[in-house]
Amino acid sequence: MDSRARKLADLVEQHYALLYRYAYRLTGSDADAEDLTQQTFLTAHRKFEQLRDEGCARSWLFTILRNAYLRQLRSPICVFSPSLDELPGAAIPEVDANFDTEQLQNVLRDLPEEFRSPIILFYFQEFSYKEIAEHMQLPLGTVMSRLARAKSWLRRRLATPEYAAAHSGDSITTPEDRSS
Amino acid sequence: VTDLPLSTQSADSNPCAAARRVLDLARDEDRAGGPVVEAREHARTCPACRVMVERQERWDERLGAAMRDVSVPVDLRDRLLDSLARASAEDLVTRQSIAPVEVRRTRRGWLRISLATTAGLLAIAASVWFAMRWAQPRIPLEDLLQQIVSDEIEAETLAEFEGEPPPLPGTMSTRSIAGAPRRFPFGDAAVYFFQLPRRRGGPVAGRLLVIPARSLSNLPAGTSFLADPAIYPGGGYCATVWVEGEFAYVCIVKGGENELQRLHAPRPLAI
Repeated sequence: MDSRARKLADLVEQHYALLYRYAYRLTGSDADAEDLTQQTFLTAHRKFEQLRDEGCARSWLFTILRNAYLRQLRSPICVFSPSLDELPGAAIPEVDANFDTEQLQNVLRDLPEEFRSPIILFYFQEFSYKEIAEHMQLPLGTVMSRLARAKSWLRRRLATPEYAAAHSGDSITTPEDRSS
Repeated sequence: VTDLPLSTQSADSNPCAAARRVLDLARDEDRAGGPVVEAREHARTCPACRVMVERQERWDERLGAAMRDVSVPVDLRDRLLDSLARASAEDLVTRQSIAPVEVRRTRRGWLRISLATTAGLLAIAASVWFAMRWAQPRIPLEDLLQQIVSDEIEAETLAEFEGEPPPLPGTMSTRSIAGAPRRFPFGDAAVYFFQLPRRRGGPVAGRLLVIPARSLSNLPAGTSFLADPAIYPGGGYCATVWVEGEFAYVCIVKGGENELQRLHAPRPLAI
């Protein structure tokens, strides 16, 4: 095994599980998540020379995965929904509010990708805000704003089933949506 | 978080809402930040906020745990490693296909190689032959004359010239030199034997040798028969030499210069 193959194998060992979880939360599908994860490592294999700092390997891999996912997205979910300002007050739900993985995934599915990616990475607790901002290629303030809005949205959708049922399929509007 | 949350605080008339908003995104890593410290201090002294912040933290813990709760297929790691190994192998094959590969040769392939090799060898042999031919040491004119004169060469002892014979000179009367040229033994030289009848003193007999000028050295400057006479008298013989074009002409007669001069006149020559 040559040096490059060995380093790639190390990257698989270190990051495949987290990448798969990220891919699953993005896509909501086991098969798609597997495909994305595999595609990520194959792309990394092809473009390994681009990784100049091995300390940035994790961010690099997550960026590859997100780009691959964005390429696959034919049309992001941008149906109309109330903006954060139109949402009721961001009440903090009781901790025993019931939701299961499927509900969480359904709610995530309704989030536009630009909100979904940062909130997933935020809750993975593996990335600093700065890393999330770099990953999204956005200013830190924009990422924080999106995180705040996405958290509020998730709370609302997960903690109040009636609200979730009434707004099933809704998502946060993006500035682009509103301008259009 | 330090540069975000409490920037909203100033715009927020409600300190509780501002503190909760700051702490909503605060992490342990942000403890050092001024706005976060400020918000935490507010939550510590405000019972309502303290309850809300604790609830918020528990919610985040629960949601984070749920977010991370994704079962990873047990064989995914192995499959990923396999796909990478395949990709590496394909890369290797691609690199090898770009590099020249040793091919199992068919009989036709071997035949082609043999023909190509033979053609190459023939080309090399031809090159060597031409090189040797052109590099042939030139014969000094004096040696040639000596050889011709000393040898009692008779026409019958030489083979007829095959193929295209060297041209006859344009500056010497050759109307009667109609016999077939003979091939001189030392190479591409033709020799014509002739006799010129005379009323008195018997015929003028002689030989005209035509040889590529490149084969000889020490050639005279004359370019026509007896125009710039280079006369080489010998024992019972007399010769003159000149060059026309790429050929040197050597005319030898029995006798002396007078006999040579008789060849100048346009008289019929008898072979």
